[in-house]
Amino acid sequence: MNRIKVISLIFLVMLTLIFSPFIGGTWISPDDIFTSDISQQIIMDLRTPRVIFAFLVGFSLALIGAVFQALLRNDLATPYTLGISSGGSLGAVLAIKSGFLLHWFGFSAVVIFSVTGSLATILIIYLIARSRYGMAPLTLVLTGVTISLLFSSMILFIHYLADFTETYRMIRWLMGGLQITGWQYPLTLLPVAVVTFLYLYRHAHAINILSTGHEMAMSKGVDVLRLQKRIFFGGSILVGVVVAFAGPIGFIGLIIPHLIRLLIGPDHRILLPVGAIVGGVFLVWCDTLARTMIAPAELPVGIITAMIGGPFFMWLLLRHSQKSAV
Amino acid sequence: MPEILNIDRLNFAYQHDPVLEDISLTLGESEFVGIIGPNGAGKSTLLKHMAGVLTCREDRLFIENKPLNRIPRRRLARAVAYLPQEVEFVFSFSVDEVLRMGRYPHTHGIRIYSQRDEDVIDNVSRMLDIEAFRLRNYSDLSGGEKQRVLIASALAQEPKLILLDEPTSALDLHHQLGIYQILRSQQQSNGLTVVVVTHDINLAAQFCTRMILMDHGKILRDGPPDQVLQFQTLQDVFGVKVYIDINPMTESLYILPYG
Repeated sequence: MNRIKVISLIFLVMLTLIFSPFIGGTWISPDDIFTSDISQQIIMDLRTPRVIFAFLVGFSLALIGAVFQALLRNDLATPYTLGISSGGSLGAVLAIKSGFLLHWFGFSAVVIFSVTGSLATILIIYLIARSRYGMAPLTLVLTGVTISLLFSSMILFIHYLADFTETYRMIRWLMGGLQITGWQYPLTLLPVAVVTFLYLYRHAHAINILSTGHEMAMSKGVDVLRLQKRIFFGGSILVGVVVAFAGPIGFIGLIIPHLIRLLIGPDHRILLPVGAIVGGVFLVWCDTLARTMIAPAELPVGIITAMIGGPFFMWLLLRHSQKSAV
Repeated sequence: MPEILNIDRLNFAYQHDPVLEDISLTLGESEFVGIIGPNGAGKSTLLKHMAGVLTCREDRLFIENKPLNRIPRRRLARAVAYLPQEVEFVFSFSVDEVLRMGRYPHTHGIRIYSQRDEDVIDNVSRMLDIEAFRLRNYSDLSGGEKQRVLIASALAQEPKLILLDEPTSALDLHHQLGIYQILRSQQQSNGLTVVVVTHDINLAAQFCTRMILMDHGKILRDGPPDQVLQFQTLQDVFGVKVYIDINPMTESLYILPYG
């Protein structure tokens, strides 16, 4: 990373965070803030918190995608590979079906059920995958995939029992979205994301070594068991919170770490901060598209990230198969 | 001779069948030890215990008289380096980044490498003759180059004991010899203790000061090559007929199986 790249990255973030709130169903020009109360309210209470929220969600997903790919020693891993998101989704779908009108610290029943589902899933995976010699990457992946399938079938079952309104709400939730008002979500996510990032960043060098395998990492002085456990719990809890707030928004956790690795290499000391920031910027612009494409209506942002992410993923697979064919 | 590693009656089983039975041995400074024996004799398992990659519940292994299980990982990595039989990188790290991994036990947190770290890395790259490709991707290197990079990364830990699991099994004659020569020069000039697990008995006989013959999880013979490489023992352990002679060029033993 040379200085020019660092400066252009900072510039990109500033540009994104400052400009995107003005773009939306209706364009609000910066001087309207001072002249119109309604414009000021739209910018301050709707669009700015939403942009910050989108940034934090993208930031978290790219960060966790990168570390899970190292933890699982698999560059096709995503924040959802371990099945935590399906636990969260099952919780959310249950909350919608049961129709609880529960509110707790200002969070809806969907959020509370979803976080509970994620935490329960984290615990189940940990109890299955742990062993004396740490969590074997393959066992973790298999456990995650199995749990995802199991929970998906339960979600389908609840869908089947649900009426049309409930089904619509469930599907809409599963598409992922960032429609929020006010500062509660971004201000709750902020500390969780920042603390997780700082912790992971402190261990970036150890994560490099962890990606080369258990035995190698142990022999280089990495406390593999402890590091694995902390990455697993730290990352999973952040994923649980993100999924509860924004639904399972796909592809960011997969494509952004890949993109950054292609551009600047696999060293996590650079990959983690740059990947997370680019992930945040990417999701802000995807959400800006989602807000404007069919204005005054909105597209679920998950559709946009998948539309951009899908072709990228195919290209990646193509590249993989060409490489192994040579 | 100062003791580096001491093993006191080590027993180990992965599941139920014992893999190591009642292993006791002591390694001193500046030894070159070859562990030989048939497949499944427990050689690699023993090496993994010495590296602290596998552990047993009781304190059976001691590094400089401290129980290995209780030494913090980083401190252990400053004393003992280990090269697994197979190392597979999922991400394409550059050679330089692989070398830096060897300095991890000497750093704290996210800290940038000190001048001393850089000096050590320069030094090991020179010794292993890998300076020319330090900026290339590890995954693009040939088998011999990869092995040299991994050994350099292990030596960058500045260990007192280096453990290698079949370090030359994938290499041609030239590189096989090269690896052993590097290890011997480290052993002789820096007092490094080298332990190799190998099937190449002849190379081991030429370079090792001490050989350990294992079978069925037990140590059968332990001593200088000419005491371990005995006709009857080898025929019994490996189940083949062998011819043993002295190589007039090196005056070390060599064996040839025949049938």
